[in-house]
Amino acid sequence: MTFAIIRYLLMILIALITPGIINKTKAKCGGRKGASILQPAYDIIKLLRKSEVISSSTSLIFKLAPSITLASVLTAGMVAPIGGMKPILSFSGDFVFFAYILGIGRFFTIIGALDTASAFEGMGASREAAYSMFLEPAFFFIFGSLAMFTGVSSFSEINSVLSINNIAHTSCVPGFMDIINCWIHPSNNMVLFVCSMIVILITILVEASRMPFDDPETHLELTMIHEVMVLDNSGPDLAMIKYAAALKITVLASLITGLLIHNWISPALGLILYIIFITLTAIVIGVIESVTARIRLTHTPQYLIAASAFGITVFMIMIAGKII
Amino acid sequence: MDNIFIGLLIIIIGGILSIIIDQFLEGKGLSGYVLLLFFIIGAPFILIPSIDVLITGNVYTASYNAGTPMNQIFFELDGLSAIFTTLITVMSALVLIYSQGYLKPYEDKGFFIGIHFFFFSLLVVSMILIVIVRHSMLFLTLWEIMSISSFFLVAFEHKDKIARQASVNYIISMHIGVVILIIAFLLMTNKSGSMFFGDFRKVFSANTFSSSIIFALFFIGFSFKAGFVPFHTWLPKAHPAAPSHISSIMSGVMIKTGIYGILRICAYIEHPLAWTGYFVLIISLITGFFGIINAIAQSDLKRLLAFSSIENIGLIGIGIGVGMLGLSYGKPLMATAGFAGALLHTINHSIFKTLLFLGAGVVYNLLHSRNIEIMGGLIKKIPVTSFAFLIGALSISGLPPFNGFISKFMIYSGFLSEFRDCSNLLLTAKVFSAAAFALFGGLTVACFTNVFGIAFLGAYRGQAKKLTPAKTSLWMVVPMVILSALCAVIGLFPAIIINILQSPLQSFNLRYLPAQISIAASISQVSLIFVSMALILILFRYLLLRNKLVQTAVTWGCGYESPSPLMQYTSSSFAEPITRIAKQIVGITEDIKGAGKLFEDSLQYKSNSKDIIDSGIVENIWYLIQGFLNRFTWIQCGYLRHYILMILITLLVALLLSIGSFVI
Repeated sequence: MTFAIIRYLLMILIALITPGIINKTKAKCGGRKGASILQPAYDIIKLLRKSEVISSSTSLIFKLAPSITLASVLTAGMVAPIGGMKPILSFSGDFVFFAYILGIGRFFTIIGALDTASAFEGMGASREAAYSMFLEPAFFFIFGSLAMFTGVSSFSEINSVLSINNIAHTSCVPGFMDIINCWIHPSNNMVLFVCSMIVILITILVEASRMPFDDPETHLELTMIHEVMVLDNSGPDLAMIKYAAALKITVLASLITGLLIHNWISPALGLILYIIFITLTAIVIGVIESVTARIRLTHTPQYLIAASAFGITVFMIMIAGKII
Repeated sequence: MDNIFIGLLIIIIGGILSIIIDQFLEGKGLSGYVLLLFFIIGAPFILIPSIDVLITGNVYTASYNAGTPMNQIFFELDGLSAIFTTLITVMSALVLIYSQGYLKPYEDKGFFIGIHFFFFSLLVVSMILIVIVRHSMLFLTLWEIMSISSFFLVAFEHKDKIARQASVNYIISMHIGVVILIIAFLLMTNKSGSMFFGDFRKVFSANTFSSSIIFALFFIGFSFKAGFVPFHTWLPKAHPAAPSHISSIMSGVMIKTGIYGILRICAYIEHPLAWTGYFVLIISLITGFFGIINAIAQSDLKRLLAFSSIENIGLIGIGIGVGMLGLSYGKPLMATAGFAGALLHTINHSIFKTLLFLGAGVVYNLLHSRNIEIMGGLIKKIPVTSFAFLIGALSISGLPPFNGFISKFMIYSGFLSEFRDCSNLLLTAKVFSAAAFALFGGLTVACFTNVFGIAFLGAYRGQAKKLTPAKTSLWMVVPMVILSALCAVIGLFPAIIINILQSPLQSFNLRYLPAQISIAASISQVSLIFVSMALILILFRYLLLRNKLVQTAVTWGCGYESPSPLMQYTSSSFAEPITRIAKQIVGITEDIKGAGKLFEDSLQYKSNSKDIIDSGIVENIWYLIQGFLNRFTWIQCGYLRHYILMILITLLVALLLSIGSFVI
């Protein structure tokens, strides 16, 4: 339990630099030097020290929304697997809770945006509601299929069953190479993990409002999704929103590590692998952002439905595997 | 058992007295108080035995000889009935308190308030009797009383043409439903040999194809009341037409009698055939999807809530389907999770939908409109109602830490457990239903952020002068506060309600597995962590800003300095990304006037959403039936003596037939 809390705190700290890594990657790809990877953390600290300007048309909801959104992501982080190890809280069906607790944060972000009475923020809110709706089934296809495959229904149990499936291929003292061996071993269904990772990656890109679904750096309010919803937030509220977005990337990326890092390796190695994976995910996001262009807004749902298609693929592989 | 009848008698006496006071004693405005007083005296007589049953798991029975044609009639109060009697009594009491404030503006305007309250009491009494009676013929009689009394309640604003049409549409739907129920009960009585419900068990245990057809007939018959697609068409019409407290009693409690009927029949089936489970599951999935996707497209607040009720009935049905599949494949965890989830969602939906309709009623009393597009900024005028509505919206979206999440989680745990030794069909059904369930969840969030954000937040869109600062009557506020507290308490401490469900599960011969009870504790733990974390962050924010000057300024309008409230995003544009994709299902019709000219002087855009099942399928069937029946118009010739002759012929034929059947 103590270690779980330490790991959780580590995740919270890593979240501060994740956006920094993404930005650095983008800068490198663009041939720029780029800001320090700690820049987002400095921004957050600076914003916390500032005062706020509040829109005259808002109500209490606008002031509560950022805090509740951050609380929801922090709570979701408590059930997310960190490396191959048990999270602070784990119970059957915790991935359902995970999806729905992120939902309450989204609910408050949306109504917080509508509270400002601005047409632009309304637009962002509407898109956020629609796009996240398309992603819900994909998430449940993936984790529903994994639950079906393993027969258990919590992040850590799924991880431990996947690990047991693989333990036969390890040497006496499991090390880094054993994990790699496990991944490429034929008994381990690579298509499954690749599809799961693609779905989680799409989820990250949408939830954290990244290219090609959303452009965090656009200067035109009409085309934004997430950034336009927080146009009127400032000071500590904006800091909480920025931090919640960064934490969301980290928490969702932790889900990938929960599938790939097995629970029989030593905790220290697990943590090192965890940090490597989060960094890799951030770099991948940065590269995707650099090489893709923004999709037309009206075409976005098609790409999101593709995520569900990957989910269904995973399910079909599971079913096919069962028949054989 | 006798206590319940005493309680019902007190309530009905209250109803009769309220007519007398209103009509003959010139006591306008008093009739509601009289019924409320009698209701509060009568309610404990019903609640005490029900709660006793729920806690101890006892079953009370009673039987009386009612003479021909019913012979022996049976009553029984088991766990399943007790859940519903408690729900009906508590919700009706809260709604009755609310109606004291809601109906104030209607006094002295020629509305029959006394009669309205009488039918209210009749509706409550008939609903309570329905859930405890175990006799086919009496059940159907009470079912009719329920439909007819609610018909008069819907037709309260009888001078309004739309209200009249909606109530007539409602009563027609109910009668088609009851015909199917009569057929089902007749077939059942014919097979089991008695009108006692308990004898149904042996017919169902034969487990033949014909018994599952009878089940399907029961399901369809009850579907008309519950509002399963495609039998839902009365709901989106009746709910906006009825006064808000009646909408809430209908959506919160009355349509649940249909669910009760389905569950009661399920309780008599020990091993349902698998196809009946899939049948229920598929109809429910369609219902859920159709309900929520149409809810998003509505801009009439109460019509939206009506469609959302259809969705929730779908969710309850999914629970029942999962339970039946669990029973038929011999998977106890699935069965308990399904039925417990269905019951829990029935209770939860009853709480938050009543809350939302009551909130809609306050808005209607304030603005005299149900159109979301002209609302906005109501949170500043009616803060308590708005926060209650927010809690209702969060609960109905199934978000933790509120009660909707608990029941959805329960049904999810039915999908996501016991994967071993499942056929591929069952596995597909489970995983796809879980994904569909998630989709409905996302759509509900989109729907209710839309309603709450557009109607209650932002700036008021109508003429600013019209909106006088409102003082909501305390009669109306208190029930909403109680209901929102219930949402939060059930959400934070689900163990209480999950334990209460032990006794209704006994009616299905099921009991919880230890894992299910421990999950309730885990959810309670994480929800409390979430709430405390949110409170800490809010406090943190407050401390950070305590000594700083927080300025107020106009919303950023991208450089535009004087935004008008009409420039806000509207409800239909909020829903557009979703309704555009589902255009065919939500039946959006667009009408643009004045476009295409070179120099347009005025441009008009109108969009509307219609129920495609109502206008596309039901109406066509209706025309077909009408065309057929038109051939028999010659019978209605207008001569009284012909009619009497026909009655005579009918009686003779009936007599001959019955003699003939005796002889054979």
